[in-house]
Amino acid sequence: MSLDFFFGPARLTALASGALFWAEERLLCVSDLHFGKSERLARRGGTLLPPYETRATLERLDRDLDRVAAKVVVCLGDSFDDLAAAEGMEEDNRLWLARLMAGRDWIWIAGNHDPGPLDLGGSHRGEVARSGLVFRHEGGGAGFEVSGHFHPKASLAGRGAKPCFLIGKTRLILPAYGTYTGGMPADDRLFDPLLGAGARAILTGQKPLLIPRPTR
Amino acid sequence: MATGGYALRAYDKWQRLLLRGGKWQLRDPRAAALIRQNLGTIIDIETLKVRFRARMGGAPLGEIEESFAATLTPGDTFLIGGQVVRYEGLNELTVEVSRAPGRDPRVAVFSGTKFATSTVLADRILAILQLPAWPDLPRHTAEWLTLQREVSELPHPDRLLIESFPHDGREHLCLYGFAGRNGQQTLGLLVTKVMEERGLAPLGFVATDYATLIWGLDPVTDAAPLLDLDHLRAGLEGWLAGNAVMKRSFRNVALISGLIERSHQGRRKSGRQATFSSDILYDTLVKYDPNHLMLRITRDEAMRGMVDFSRIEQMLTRIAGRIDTRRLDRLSPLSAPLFLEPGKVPVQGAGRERLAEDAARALLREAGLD
Repeated sequence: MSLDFFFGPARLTALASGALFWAEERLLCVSDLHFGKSERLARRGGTLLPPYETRATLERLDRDLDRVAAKVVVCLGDSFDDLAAAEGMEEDNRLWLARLMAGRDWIWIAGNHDPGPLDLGGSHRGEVARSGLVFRHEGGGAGFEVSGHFHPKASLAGRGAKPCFLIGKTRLILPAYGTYTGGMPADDRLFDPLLGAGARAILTGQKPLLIPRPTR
Repeated sequence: MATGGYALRAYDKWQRLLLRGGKWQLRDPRAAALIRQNLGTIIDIETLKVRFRARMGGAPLGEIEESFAATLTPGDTFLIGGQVVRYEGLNELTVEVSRAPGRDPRVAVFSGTKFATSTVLADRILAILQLPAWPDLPRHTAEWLTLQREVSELPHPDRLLIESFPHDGREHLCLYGFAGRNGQQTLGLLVTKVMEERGLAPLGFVATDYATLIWGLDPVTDAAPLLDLDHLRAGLEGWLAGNAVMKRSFRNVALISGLIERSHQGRRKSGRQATFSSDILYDTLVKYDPNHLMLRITRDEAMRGMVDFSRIEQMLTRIAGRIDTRRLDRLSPLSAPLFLEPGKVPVQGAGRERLAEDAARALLREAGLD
């Protein structure tokens, strides 16, 4: 299930899983994977959560990559819950990730949770520009910008709150892709200056749904 | 906690228990207070205080359930302390409201303790319902039952009465099984499952001791095919995967075990504290560790307390296929109390998808974006 929309010069596809696909570039973009979140919380003396979220996230990523046959993958930052979580990734998950990366141009964009380079292959960038779009972790810059960071979510009659894409004229904010990620309501005033008036949202779920961005 | 399940495998450095000098000890002594507070926990409904909005904190009005508060948006009105108030916003852990007399309120819900009525009591009630008149009952109750007899009929011990009617833009189906709250709840789960299979788009249900009310998008004119015992039993086998009642049991188990936390005496939940949706944890565990201790406990809990399938079997054997489906043009007196009943269980399925798609289209049209 997917939904096509236009953003600046590009025709993009929002996947129901929360990933963004740019068919023309064969590029798949995911944001805020937060691999190793349960491990980091445990390490810091927090709650001991079932540690399967990395596998669950990898499973969805694997399925999406397979479906759209992406050549380029952009991870928009906060891919790991912190740098130690990247190093502490379990061996089988690390191999799984390596298998997904094989044969693809894989770009890790730095986020606030994972600011440094990772020992994982792929290229590590602060931001990356491509055919008229610019990809960075936290939105607010120039150009037709694709960003993550805020984990937007919105609800609709019949559905609970679901992660959502937010689409303004020049800024596109992706939902968090990670399994254990919370969210910020899409009607938060913080988004007003970023997206401007007339912004739209695409809710993830069984089927992606386009709605006007909720406002307060 | 030290040796079981994922705790050891994934977090061997951060176990909760530690073997020290031949004795198991808590790794973090501070955890002892938390565990003691959780001992003998009776899971209560989380409530929030309601106050009038004022600079120094207005007059307190009472408490509402957190789950109800979560459904409010500013401007919604609800009934509390005998007056209609308008929801203004949430300040820390207090719901702030202003006066809004004369508005049409929603009803804030409170769930009390829920024990199922026994078969003996249910039989006696059914026997009373067969009387030609009820001079011994309070007048309002007698009038209520008389009205039910006029507009529909009263449930009979050897038959199953099912009413089907539209109300408030939704189709409703009310099954008077008298199988006790838990049995009726399980009946709701299983019947909505069959309805989903048949494309009848159920949206949710609620159960009381005597009836189950199901609402959805499409009318059901013949409910008998929904109540095939073998089919229902087959549904029971597969019901463990991701249903709302299991998730609710899991939430309680997770709270007691300390997997998820709630605010304790002397500790305030701050906005930034990591809280996790117990539903997501449940789904993850079911998928990757289906035999985890917590899930086994949840299953036992649910089967013991909430399922009560034997009552449904008894009921269906008793009525032996004598099912009366009454199509009414509006709700009946006997079904009315179910609309005020807390503990509504949502059904996630095609109905909700259809609803969400309609809502999305309407919003786009309103905004001129379609």
